[in-house]
Amino acid sequence: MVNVILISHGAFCQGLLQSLKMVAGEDFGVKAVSLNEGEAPEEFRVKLAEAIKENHTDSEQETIILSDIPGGTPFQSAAYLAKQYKIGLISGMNLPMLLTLCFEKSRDKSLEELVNKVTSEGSLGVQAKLFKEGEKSKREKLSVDKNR
Amino acid sequence: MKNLVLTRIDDRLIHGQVMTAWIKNRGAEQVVIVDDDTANDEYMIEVLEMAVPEEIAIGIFTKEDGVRFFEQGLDAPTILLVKGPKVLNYLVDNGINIDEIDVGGMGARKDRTVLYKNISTNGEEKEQFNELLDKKVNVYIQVMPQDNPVSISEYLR
Repeated sequence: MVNVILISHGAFCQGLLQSLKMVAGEDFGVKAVSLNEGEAPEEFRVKLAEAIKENHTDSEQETIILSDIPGGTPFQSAAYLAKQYKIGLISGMNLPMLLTLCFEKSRDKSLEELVNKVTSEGSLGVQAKLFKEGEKSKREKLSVDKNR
Repeated sequence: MKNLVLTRIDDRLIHGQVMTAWIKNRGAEQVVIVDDDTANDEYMIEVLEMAVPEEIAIGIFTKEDGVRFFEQGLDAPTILLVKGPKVLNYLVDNGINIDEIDVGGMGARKDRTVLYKNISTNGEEKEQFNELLDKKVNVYIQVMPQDNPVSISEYLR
C-alpha cells in the first residue's frame, strides 16, 4: 500500500492529522513531519527521509507526500528525496483531499491513480456559498407519500 | 426491508465525506433522516441538503412520517440516518423491518460515558440498545466502511 506523509511549515500537518483522526476515526498510518521555526532545511530533510524509510518495505515502495505550499522548504526537501524514493508530491493539502486519499489508498491503487484522484476537482472540497435568496439546489426531495 | 442498505446512528447526521463514503460503499440513491427536531427545522434541512452529493435524494421526516414513508416500501437503495437508538425502537415497534443497525457516531456529552472508543451513551440509550437487541436486531459499531464491525452487545453489560 502507498504510504502517506504530511509536511508543513509549523504544526499545520500535525493538526491536519488530528482532524483526520477525528473525522474518520483513525489515522490510516499517515505520518506528519513539520518544519519547525528556526530549524535548518537539512535537519528537516533528515527527519523526512526517516519518516519515508520507516515504512519502506522495498525499493518499489511508493510514498505520497502532501505539503502545505508549493515551492517552500518542506516541498523542496520532498522533491529532493524523490531522487532516492518513489514519491508523489502534492501541494496545497487540505482535509477533503486527505480523506479521499485515505479512503482510496486501501484499495490497492497505484501512486499515479491516487495522485490523479485526490487532485481532481471533486476531491478538493472547495465550495463557495453566498446564501442569496433563490439560490436553491436542484436536489430531489422525498415526500412522505412517495419515494423514488 | 428491501432496499434499506444501511441504518445508521450518527448524531452528526450527514457528515460530509464520511457519509459520501457510505453512500458509495452501499450504492445508495437516497438518504432518509428520521428526527423530529430536524424535520421541524426548515433552515437545518437546507444546511443538511448542502452536505450531501447533489445526485442523492433526501427526505427528512418526523418519526410518524418516517413510519408512513417506510411502510410503503423503498423503490431505491436507501440509507436511514438517525441520531439515537430510541427512534429506531419506535420504527421497529411500528412495523418497520430493520435487521441491523450501524452505530457510527454518538459523541461525548455530560450525561454520557464512553461505551467504545468514540461512542458514548447514557443509561437510557443503553436500555434502548438492549431493547433493540431483544428484538433480534443486530447492532454493531462501525465508523467507516473499511472498519471491521464490532458487536455492541458485550459493551452494554
